[in-house]
Amino acid sequence: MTDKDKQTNELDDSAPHALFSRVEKNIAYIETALGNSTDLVIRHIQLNKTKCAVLFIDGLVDKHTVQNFLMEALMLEMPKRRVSVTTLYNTIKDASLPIGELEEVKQFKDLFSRLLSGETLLLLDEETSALAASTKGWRDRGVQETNSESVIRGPKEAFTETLRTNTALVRRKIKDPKLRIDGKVIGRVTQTEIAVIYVDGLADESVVEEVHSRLDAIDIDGVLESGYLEEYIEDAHFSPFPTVYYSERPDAIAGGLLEGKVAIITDGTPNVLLVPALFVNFLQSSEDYYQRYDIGTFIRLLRLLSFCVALFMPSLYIAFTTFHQEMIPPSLLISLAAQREGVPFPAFVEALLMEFTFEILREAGVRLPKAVGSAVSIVGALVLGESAVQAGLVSPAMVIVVALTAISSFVFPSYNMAIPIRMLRFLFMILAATFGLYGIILGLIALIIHMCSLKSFGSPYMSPFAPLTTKDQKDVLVRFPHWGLFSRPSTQAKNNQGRTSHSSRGGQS
Amino acid sequence: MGNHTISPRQFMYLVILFTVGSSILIIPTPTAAMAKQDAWLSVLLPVSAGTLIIWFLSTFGRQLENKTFVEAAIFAFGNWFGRLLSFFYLSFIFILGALVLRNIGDFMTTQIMPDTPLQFTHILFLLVVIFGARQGLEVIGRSSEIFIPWIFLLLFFLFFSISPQINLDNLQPILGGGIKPILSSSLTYLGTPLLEMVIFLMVFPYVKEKKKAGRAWILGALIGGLILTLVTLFSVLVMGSDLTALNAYPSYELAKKINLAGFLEGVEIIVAIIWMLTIFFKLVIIYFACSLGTANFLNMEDYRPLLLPTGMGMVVLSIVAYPDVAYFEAFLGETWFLYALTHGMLLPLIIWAGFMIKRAHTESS
Amino acid sequence: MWAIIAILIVAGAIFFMEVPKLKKKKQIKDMWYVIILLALATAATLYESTGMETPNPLDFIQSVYAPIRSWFQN
Repeated sequence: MTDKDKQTNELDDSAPHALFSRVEKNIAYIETALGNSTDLVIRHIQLNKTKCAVLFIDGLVDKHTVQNFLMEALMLEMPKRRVSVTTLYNTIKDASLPIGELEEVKQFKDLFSRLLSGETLLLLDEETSALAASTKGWRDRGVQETNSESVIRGPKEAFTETLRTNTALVRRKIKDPKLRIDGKVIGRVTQTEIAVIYVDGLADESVVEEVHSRLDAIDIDGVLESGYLEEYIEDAHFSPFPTVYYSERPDAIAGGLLEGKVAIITDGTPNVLLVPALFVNFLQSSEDYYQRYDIGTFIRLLRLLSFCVALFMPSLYIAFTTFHQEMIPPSLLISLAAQREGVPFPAFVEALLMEFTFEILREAGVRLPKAVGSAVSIVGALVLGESAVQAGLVSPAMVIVVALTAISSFVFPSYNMAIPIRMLRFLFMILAATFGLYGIILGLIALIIHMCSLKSFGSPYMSPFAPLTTKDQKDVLVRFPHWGLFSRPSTQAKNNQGRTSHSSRGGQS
Repeated sequence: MGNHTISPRQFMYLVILFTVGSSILIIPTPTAAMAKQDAWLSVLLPVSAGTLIIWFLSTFGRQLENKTFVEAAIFAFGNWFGRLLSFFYLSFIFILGALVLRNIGDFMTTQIMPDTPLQFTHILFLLVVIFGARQGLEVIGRSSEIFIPWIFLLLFFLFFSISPQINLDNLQPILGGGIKPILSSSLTYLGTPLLEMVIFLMVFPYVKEKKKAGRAWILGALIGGLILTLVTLFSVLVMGSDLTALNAYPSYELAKKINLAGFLEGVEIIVAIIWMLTIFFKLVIIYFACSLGTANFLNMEDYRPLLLPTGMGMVVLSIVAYPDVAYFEAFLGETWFLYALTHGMLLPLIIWAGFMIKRAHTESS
Repeated sequence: MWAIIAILIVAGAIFFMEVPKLKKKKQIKDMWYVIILLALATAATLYESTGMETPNPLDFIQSVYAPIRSWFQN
């Protein structure tokens, strides 16, 4: 065990330790606890003959605030005549510091968490409580345009890495006093701030409670991204399907909150979680609501179609060319057979080869810098596609199938719904290669049964199809015009179903 | 046992799927052989008569409250005799399950996958069935809601696209052979699937709103019967009764004849999909009832551990059950109706009587 | 030969999937029922896989119902 570890442990053991009365002792304690870190700034000053110290972490505080408001006020506007330490302390606390947020700190544990999250501490000699001024301010990316969920029509802003900015983005969309933001700190070492957001009266209380209890049960040393939380709180750990929705678009999250869902914002990541998440949520984009309802409906149906294409296309190709040639129309069969002539592999190996190639290209494309990315696509499209066909390794039809599959899997607005499709596709290809269509249909039945067995925070994953809710169909595959969307999804907003003022009769059930 | 309850609507869907499953393969051939051009009447006739049977079963089911059939038998007739009766009931379900499994296996290996050994088709199918049964009734009910629209859509597509080839002469003369052949061939439909409905007495305790559920049961059987009537009717209308009787799978032949404007042909696979889906649900219900009944029989806490061993047994039975299709058709024509009658009508009647007496007895004392 | 090995592997897999769970839940009686049923099913499968003439329950049912049937048809 290194010295540093020992100290952290000591810190843990003596965690609820009260502050000492001597300022030197306090500073010494803080310095050892932080291991003399270089970013800790300590400024010793004398106020009214009392020894004081101002502490902050360089880089986490807004130096302008510290300089202009805190230091200036302390050094220039102190009482001239000699007063007792308590009076001095109270004057500073109540009167002379022009800082919005000022708190008393009596325990070291509290002191450290404040110091390390960017507050400035003022320690006075002979006083067992310190003052913590909120001077948080660090460089962040700022609210920028979203990269991963771009839209043509609709707001372009995206969440950032800063929790407060993110809650503000949501608050700016929903200016209702019933919007609740509950705070939490998760991660023994990282002390990551979490905010649970919901609209009181819209969200189901039991879901809110469930979210809180699942978050509280998390015991982990660090939370660096919301994915850490997602794996802890999701319902189905052994399912390829995501049961927690995430988005970096404030409008998507606000839309979810209005449907009675609960959002979880994690400090340090722009990806905000939203529960309960149903299967259909992953096929919907917030843009569906901004464009006219007819095109919104059309695009939703298109997405469902491309879901099926992305999942089944290669396996159907394998099944038909290997087992059920008699079901292909004769003219098509002839051209397929002519293409496949000279291809040394069975259709299954051919498909597997191409699918893996595509997956590799895709991963390479995601990781590479933008400049090199185009090179990869040239290599992929020209060298692998074109030359593989010319070399007679794969048939042109197979390239079309793989290309169509690939493009279809990019249609989904949420990236994590493409993941189960990417993985299950290979399973279906194996089924098709061994049992043909029989295997595919049985696989499909098993898939649907599995999806029907999933739940997300109490809501059946396949609702409103199974169990069927006729009232909720207006915003699933088709999108009704906004004046037709008079009620919220009944599985989530149990309390207040009416969206418009004259349709609240369904509520209070 | 767990929290699996289903809504009356889901129950109705399951009844429809159960009625159509495997009967859609079996029914047209023997009815067309016996009743010729009136085959569809010999399906329609027992559909109405079946209402009576189901009315009795659903009334019984409501009186049972939350007891399954096996529990009721043990309650009414005591540990030994009650178990003996339930043993007959369970063996009926088990044998039916094996036969249904063999139906789909036969179809697949003769029509679609000629190179795949029978055992493997059975094992794969049963694995999915076991997976479904393990998830419990609630999930089965929900997935039926997903599949029902597809089945109706495919059926509609089948009827719609074959309609240009209808030849009304194939139905003439109506009642040409008198009423007698219709009556005797309607026994086929009574045997499968109507009398098999007794299996739902294992499921009925888990349906919410019993009164609605009883109506859903009758309605489901009517809708299912109507689908089978239409399938038989269309087979006779398009192919004539002789060809229908000769074919092992007339509805599959029917779909092969689809040719819309020269480009839409070879779509018989949609019929295969309907069959697989309906038979799957029929088998899941049978399988659920069988393992749940066995668990009740043995006083076990959960039926799930029984699923896999039962599956092994069912695969074996489905293979050895009959050597060829001729044997099966003879068995279906001669013995199955009687076998189903004793287990689907007589047995529930006996247990109903015993149950009512016992209940009156316990209430008075 | 391969069939026998495959059947034994499957039976073993089922055993290890179901029995330890029941034992952990202290459902000893249920555990024995599962073991007995599994043994019966395995025995039947093994018997069938050897290709010997397997007794068919359908034959049995037919012979039971034969007298009723002939009475029914008259």
